[in-house]
Amino acid sequence: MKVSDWIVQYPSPPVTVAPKTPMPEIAKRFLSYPKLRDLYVISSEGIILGHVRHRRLAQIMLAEHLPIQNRSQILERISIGPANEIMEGDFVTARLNEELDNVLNRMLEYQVEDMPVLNEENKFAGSINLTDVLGATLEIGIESLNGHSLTH
Amino acid sequence: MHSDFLIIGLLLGCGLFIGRVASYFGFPRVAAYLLVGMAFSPGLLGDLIGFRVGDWIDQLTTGALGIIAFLIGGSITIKQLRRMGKVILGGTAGESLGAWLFVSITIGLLLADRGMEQALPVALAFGVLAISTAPAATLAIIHQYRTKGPLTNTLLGAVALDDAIGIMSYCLLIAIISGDSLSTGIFEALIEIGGAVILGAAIGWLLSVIGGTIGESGLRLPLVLTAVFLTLGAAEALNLSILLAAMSLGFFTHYFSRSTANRLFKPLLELEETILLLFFILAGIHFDSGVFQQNLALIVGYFLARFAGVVVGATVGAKLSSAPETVTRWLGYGMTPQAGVAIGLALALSHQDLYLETGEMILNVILGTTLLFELMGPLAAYFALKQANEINIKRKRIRHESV
Repeated sequence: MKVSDWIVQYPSPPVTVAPKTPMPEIAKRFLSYPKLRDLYVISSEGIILGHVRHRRLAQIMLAEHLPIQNRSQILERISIGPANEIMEGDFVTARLNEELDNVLNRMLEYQVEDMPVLNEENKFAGSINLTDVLGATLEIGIESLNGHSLTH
Repeated sequence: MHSDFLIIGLLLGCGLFIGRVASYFGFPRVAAYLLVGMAFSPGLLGDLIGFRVGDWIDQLTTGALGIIAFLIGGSITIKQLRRMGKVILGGTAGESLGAWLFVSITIGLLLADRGMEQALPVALAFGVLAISTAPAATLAIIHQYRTKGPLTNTLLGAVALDDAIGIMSYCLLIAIISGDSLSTGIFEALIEIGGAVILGAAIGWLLSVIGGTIGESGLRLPLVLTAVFLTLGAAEALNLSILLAAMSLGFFTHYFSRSTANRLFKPLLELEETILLLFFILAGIHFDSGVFQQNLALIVGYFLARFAGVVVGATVGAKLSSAPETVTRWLGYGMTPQAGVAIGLALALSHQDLYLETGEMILNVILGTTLLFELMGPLAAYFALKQANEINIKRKRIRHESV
């Protein structure tokens, strides 16, 4: 299956936020869509700038429970910035014309739960959620008795 | 037993063990590391095992201090400073100024009473060393009692920032005092400080560019260490302030790397405990019981003057920043712990030409007062947070998970 087909069949929840989105709004987004584990910060032109993991958000918001904190974490704790300041710049992406097989490989290797998909202009075109993939595997696994396969 | 490796292994092992014991009984690990180093100083166990302080120790401690300065610089961003607000910045500035002023005057008077020729530069140096605090001890209390409120927030910001002020003040003092006259001193200081900032910025930019192209995580630590040591070496060769250059490197690496900065700092942060363990033990080895005993008056004077200066300065700074009453009254008490940066700066000071004769005395006074501040500081922080009604739970035992 092509990635372009997948994102039509399994449309992603809203995984993008603007660079200046404040922390409480990011938290609300995660809470509104419990299967979301990554949010992507995109510019007004639709270019991905970075991503905020669910775990990173929890570490910042629950920082008082961390017994050991370095200076960066202390300063982050008392001066929480918007999305573009807490985001991580490293992320992996998928292309619309890729086979889902290859993308799943990268998702597992880099431990990504919401993989952003880019179009030909390198702009955000959708995302692939790992929970959706697991659900589809279970569903099509039953149907595979009839010769179907998730990734072909 | 003359193998240096065996001795280093023994020191690290003892430091780890005593550090864990100290944590268990509620004492900061830093104090334990220092005590281990002091126990192995040449006048004590060091003689027994044939351990001698060699030149390599100075190189190692300078490198460790450079890494600490790099991490301090890399932890601060301009955007965070803007958001922190005037209470944190005012309280930190007040604490720094108060500590510097009270300690400089007190030590100056004590040294003048002794008829010491270099009373002024030594007193000013002690003043600069008094500025930095130890965030770990305060953080341990805040975490242990799950404190929350304006005092907790202000304290966290202030203890995280004032080490940077301490390093910058130290570099400024050394740059000015090294000149032949005040005017040439100020001119040379501008060159030394400006050059260090530019050097750090240039290598920081290069590090962020190269770091951005390296995908393999295992290569990031050697890359960052390369940048730190190149900066220290180049600053030394160009007669620039090496600590300021390292701090500038950290700051600009973070600035230029932006959202990918964490991946460059992470490997070094994971090494931080090892660096601190090594650093404090090696600092403790410089302990000299004879010098220590001769300067008990200075130790007591420094301790009392710093305590008073920190409390008064933070109070005035917070008041001028229109801080809430609880912050104004109690901020200073939470900022009394002192450890790593002060010791590191005292060590660095002893290599400066002007302080070659007095460096040992200064270092031993700081070693002694660090132990006092590390024992008393957490109690003062607890007292302040309790008075401010920001303690939420009671714990039977304080565990210093952080150093």
